[in-house]
Amino acid sequence: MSDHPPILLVEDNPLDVDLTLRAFQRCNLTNPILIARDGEEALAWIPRWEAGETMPLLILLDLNMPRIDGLTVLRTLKTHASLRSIPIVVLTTSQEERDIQNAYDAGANSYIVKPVDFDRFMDVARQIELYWCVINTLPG
Amino acid sequence: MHESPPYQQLFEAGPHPYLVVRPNSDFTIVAVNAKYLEVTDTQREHIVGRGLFEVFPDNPHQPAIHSTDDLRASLHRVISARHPDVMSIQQYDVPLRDGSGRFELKYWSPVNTPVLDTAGNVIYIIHHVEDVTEFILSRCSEDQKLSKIGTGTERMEADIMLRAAEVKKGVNTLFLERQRANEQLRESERRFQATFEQAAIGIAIASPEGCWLQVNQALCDIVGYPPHELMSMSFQDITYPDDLEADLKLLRCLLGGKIATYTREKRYVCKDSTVLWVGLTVSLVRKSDHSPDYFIAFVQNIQARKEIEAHLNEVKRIAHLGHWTWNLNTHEHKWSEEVFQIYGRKLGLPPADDQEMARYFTAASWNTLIAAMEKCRRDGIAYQCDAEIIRPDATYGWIIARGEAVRDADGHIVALQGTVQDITERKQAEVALQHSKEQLKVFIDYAPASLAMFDRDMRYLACSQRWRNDYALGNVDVIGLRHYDVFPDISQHWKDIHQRCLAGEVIRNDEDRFERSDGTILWLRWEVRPWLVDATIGGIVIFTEDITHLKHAEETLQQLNATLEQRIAERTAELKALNQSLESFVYSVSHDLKAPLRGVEGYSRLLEEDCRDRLDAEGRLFISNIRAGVTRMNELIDDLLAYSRMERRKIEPNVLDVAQLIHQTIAECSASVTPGAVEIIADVSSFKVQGDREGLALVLRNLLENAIKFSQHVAHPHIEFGAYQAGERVVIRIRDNGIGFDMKYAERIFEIFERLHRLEEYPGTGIGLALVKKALQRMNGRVWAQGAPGQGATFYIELPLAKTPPDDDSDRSAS
Repeated sequence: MSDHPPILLVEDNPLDVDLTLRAFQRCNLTNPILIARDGEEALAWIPRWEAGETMPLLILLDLNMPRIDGLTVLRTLKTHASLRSIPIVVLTTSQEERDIQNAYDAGANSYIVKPVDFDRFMDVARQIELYWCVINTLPG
Repeated sequence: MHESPPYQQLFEAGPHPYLVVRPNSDFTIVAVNAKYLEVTDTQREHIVGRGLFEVFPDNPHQPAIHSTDDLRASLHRVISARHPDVMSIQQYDVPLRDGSGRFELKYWSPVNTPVLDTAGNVIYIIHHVEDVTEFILSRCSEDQKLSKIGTGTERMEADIMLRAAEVKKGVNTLFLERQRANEQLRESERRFQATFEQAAIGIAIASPEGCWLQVNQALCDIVGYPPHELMSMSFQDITYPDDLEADLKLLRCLLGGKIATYTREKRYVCKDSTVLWVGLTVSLVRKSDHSPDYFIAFVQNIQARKEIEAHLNEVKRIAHLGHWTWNLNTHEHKWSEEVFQIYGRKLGLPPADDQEMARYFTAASWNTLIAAMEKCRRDGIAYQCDAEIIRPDATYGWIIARGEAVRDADGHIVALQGTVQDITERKQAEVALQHSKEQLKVFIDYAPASLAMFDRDMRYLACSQRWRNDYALGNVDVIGLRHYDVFPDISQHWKDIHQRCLAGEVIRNDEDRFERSDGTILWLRWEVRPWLVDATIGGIVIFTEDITHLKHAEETLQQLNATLEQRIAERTAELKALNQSLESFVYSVSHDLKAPLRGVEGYSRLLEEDCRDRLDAEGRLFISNIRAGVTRMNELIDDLLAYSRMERRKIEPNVLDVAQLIHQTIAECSASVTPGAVEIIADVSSFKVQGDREGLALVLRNLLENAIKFSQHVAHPHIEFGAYQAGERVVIRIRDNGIGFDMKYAERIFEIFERLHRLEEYPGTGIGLALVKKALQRMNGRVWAQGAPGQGATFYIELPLAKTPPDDDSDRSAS
């Protein structure tokens, strides 16, 4: 397990967390999944990564969250000198043009609308795993 | 040197009677000698200084003897001939000085001798007489002669000798005198003839029958006939026919002795046929037996005077000037024609008499006039006054009445004469002017503005009441005062403005701010402009209006406007906030509703898959229904979001090709339709419309999907696109042969969540057409539909025609 860098899932809705975890399980994802239940928790990881803990392979970020929202987290990480190369995939229910635009402006690497249909959701999970954990290459 | 003899003594001592008279009309006695006093038995003091014939008149008891006449004639002869005149023996009785009044019989032999001055003029006449009474008496009666001879025979003889010589001399003188008289007669005739011929006025002598006996050159000149021609005519021939009767009448009066002469104005017809006015005076000369001898006529050309008179009458007529006289003795009034016209009195009537006159005047005017006339009558004071007249036709007028007294030779006032001049028009103009002046004054006084009129020296000519109030003039009468005297503190700034306007400028200011001495602010609107009299500047008019209250109102309004803008800003902010909350609501819908939905969907799916063997058929049906509900809900949320987005999204107006978009839409939809199941035709010209690409695509997709959906169950589904231009708009038509709809729902179908069919028949959220309507609204277009149940439906959408760009590249390359 420790061979594989983790994936950080930032999601406040416990049902979504559970369904996402199940979906990744079903497609045999080997990377461990860390959970941050809101933006605050997500940003709390930063000092730990700075301190030398393994940085995540990917961050799946919801936008609409209490306290600190996804966009703030995104901006903070993408302006962080050493953390900005961490791929951040915005995974959200919102199809708003404004959200999409804001996310990309802040440096999001991808924007994926969560499908309501579970089969399609499974499909999305599979493709994320395939692309970001297998196909994509990150800097050293 | 010889001593001059004492002439006075010589004269006094002379043995013969001498009397010295002056050659004047009275033959005043200047000297007499003692012998003369003796023989005439008079006293020196009684006769010197008196007239000769006063002292020695004819004897009234012997009227047949006119001895004074003879003496007078002799004296006149002396004066004219300047040499002595010996008179024949005269009986010249001498009044007795005894106071009885009786005369003493005396015969005299007088000799009158002139005393000439150096120039040869007669300055005195010496009247020398010899008393020959005794001699005459002796010759008259033998008895008396015999009885007297003895007393002075010698003296008598001598005297006879002397007298004989004198008589001879006297006969010669008489002859000479007759000769001279004849000469004088001839001279007189010659003078008369010359006068007749050369007289400036025409003279004619005519027989009692009217035939010319003699005419002079002046008369010939007047009538234009040569003398011989005129002589062959009668006066009747040259008299203007209308005037002849009056002439003949007057001549008859002359002949009948009723009048001695007459003078009249008449007309002659001249040789050149012109009619000429002449003044004519005719006298009749009678023979010694009083039978008519001839007429003598004096003719004067008065044509020029007549013309001047006519002209004068015309002038009087034009000037409405009439002339009148009032004879105070006869009380006869005479009026010129113009007087009748002025008073509106009929021409045929006689002039109005004293009583009648009053009716022609208003009471006030008559009282004034009658007083003036009375004064004129009494004291001869001429008058002139305006009077208002009332004509018989009840119209009013104004005259100037002038009058003066006419006096006779003794200075008594015998008549009044004067003129009346119609000045109604002038008076009316004056009244009108007065009226307009008063109106102007009232207008200026009560003008609802501050107005003042000044002359070139800035003296007040008029000002409005408002001006007085605005400038606190109170009741001070400023008319005639200088503005700068009324307001000594007036600034140079204003004086300069006044001067510029007096030079012709019009200066105004719609908003001028003044600070009063008490610090309050005054806003004025003012204008200064010159006023003109016959194109020269007579002064200026200043108009000011206190617009402080207006200014305040304006400021209030501005404040209000500012407030309003602020309120609008606030309201806008509120609306923005509202919109934001709506956006966040929609955001919540998209996010917060979808998240639990995804949970329901996910777990029902997991249940279905992971627990499949633990569920019976009914349990699986339930799960299936749950998932169908989730799908429907998901669609609803998606459509709602699309609608909301359409409402909020920014519309970008582009030029869109209708045909291209339709074909693209057909291509997209065809993918989800069973090939050959629906016939879709689009024969569309490439209209360019103005709209939002995504919006129009959404509209077309929705309408096509709708058409497919509602025609899928008919035998041969057929959908047809069309497009046409209507003015500045383009209409796109989508017609299907589907189930159609009742036109009573034509409006409702575009309302959100409105559905005409149950879900199992035709699935849908009831948002599609509402979305179409909303999209077209946003694109400045519209949508409507026509249809009937079972007969298909036609949807029309209308969008503005795209404006062609002014520069077309193809056009440019072609040139």
